[in-house]
Amino acid sequence: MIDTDNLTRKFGDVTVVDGLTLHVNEGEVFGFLGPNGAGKTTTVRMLCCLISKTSGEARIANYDVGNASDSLKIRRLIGLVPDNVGLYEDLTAYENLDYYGKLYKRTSKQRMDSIEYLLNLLGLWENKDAMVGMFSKGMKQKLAIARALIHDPEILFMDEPTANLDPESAKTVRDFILEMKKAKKTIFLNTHNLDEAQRICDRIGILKTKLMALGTPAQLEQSASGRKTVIELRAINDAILDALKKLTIGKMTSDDNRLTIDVVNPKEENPAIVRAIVEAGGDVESLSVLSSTLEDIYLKLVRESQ
Amino acid sequence: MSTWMPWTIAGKDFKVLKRKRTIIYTLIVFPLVLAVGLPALVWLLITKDGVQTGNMLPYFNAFDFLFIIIASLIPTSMASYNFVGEKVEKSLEPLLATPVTDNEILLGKSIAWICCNHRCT
Repeated sequence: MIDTDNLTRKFGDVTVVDGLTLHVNEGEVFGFLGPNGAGKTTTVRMLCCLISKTSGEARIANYDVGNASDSLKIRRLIGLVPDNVGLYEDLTAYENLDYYGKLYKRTSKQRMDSIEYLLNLLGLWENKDAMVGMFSKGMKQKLAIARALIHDPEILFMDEPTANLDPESAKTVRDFILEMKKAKKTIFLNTHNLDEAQRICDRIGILKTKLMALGTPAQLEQSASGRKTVIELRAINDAILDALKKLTIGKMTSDDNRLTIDVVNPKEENPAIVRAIVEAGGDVESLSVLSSTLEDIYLKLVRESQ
Repeated sequence: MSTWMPWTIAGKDFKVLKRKRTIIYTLIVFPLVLAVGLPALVWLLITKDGVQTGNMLPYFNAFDFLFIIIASLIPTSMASYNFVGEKVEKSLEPLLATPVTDNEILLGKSIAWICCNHRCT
């Protein structure tokens, strides 16, 4: 559905997006993670035909993003929820949506039905005749989502849709994204919120100018060097440490009566570790496996890139 | 280019205009000062010196060109304000993400402000 090949964008001498290559499948929720200035918003702007690319290729539903005649076709297919909602504050919620419905050439009946459906779904129907200027931040964010969906787009680009929202509003937006996921919409979600990405997204890309990692949340968490076995012993002695050093295991640290060992495959390595400890006369009190969280992977990758 | 799309954009701008009092006041006060305020000031200054009213007519006619300036200045400045306003309120980005061409947007903005200026002058 969304394909980029070596997509690059420079502002003067500064490269903001460097050689981005990815593929987003139809009906997939793709999360784009990265720190501020990583190039997430620039990528969305390029894909929405708002700014040009410096080099590389990008295609949406087989339409070329750089082609002027294709860009109008792409804009009909996509809906955009920008980081700033950009609503007309002197118009009512209904008027805002009706205006955008007209821009997408929806008939009067289609507009009426869509507006009623979306405002009811997002809990804004009661406020349809209120000026948007009077809305809270959360209500504006929900209205911006409704605006992006007024023409029932196949692809939805969302740039930090839950940023600056209170927990309740953020949950409403997240639940709505999950509803869209059930409706098989392709969603490209820019976010800082790792927990949100983990819960909502089918796959995640971590960007820091370049694409640092790509995979499902589970794949990223299970990436090599990401697991630790923590063993509590009654006492640690040199015989136990020597026995463990003979095994081909990862980095090992000891603290009081606790051993922390880096493992690649806990199911295969842990029995050998426990056997070695017991044979060396050690008493194992407890054993636990710590998996790397998405946050660990994210921080590791971002720090490495610096 | 769609023929009615610019009118959709112009229609929205009219609605916004009607609700923005600062813009309405600007559109009314400026022509009012030029049409009434300045001639009144000249009339006061001249009659103070005892000049006949009939001799003042050429002076009043001198203000005609100001109306031409208003007619050309207000729509361009207001149209540019309209674009800047969209940019400031961050509404330009979602607008540009719709399948509306740049020409349609430009024409729509121009229609709104030319019609508005026509009504004011």
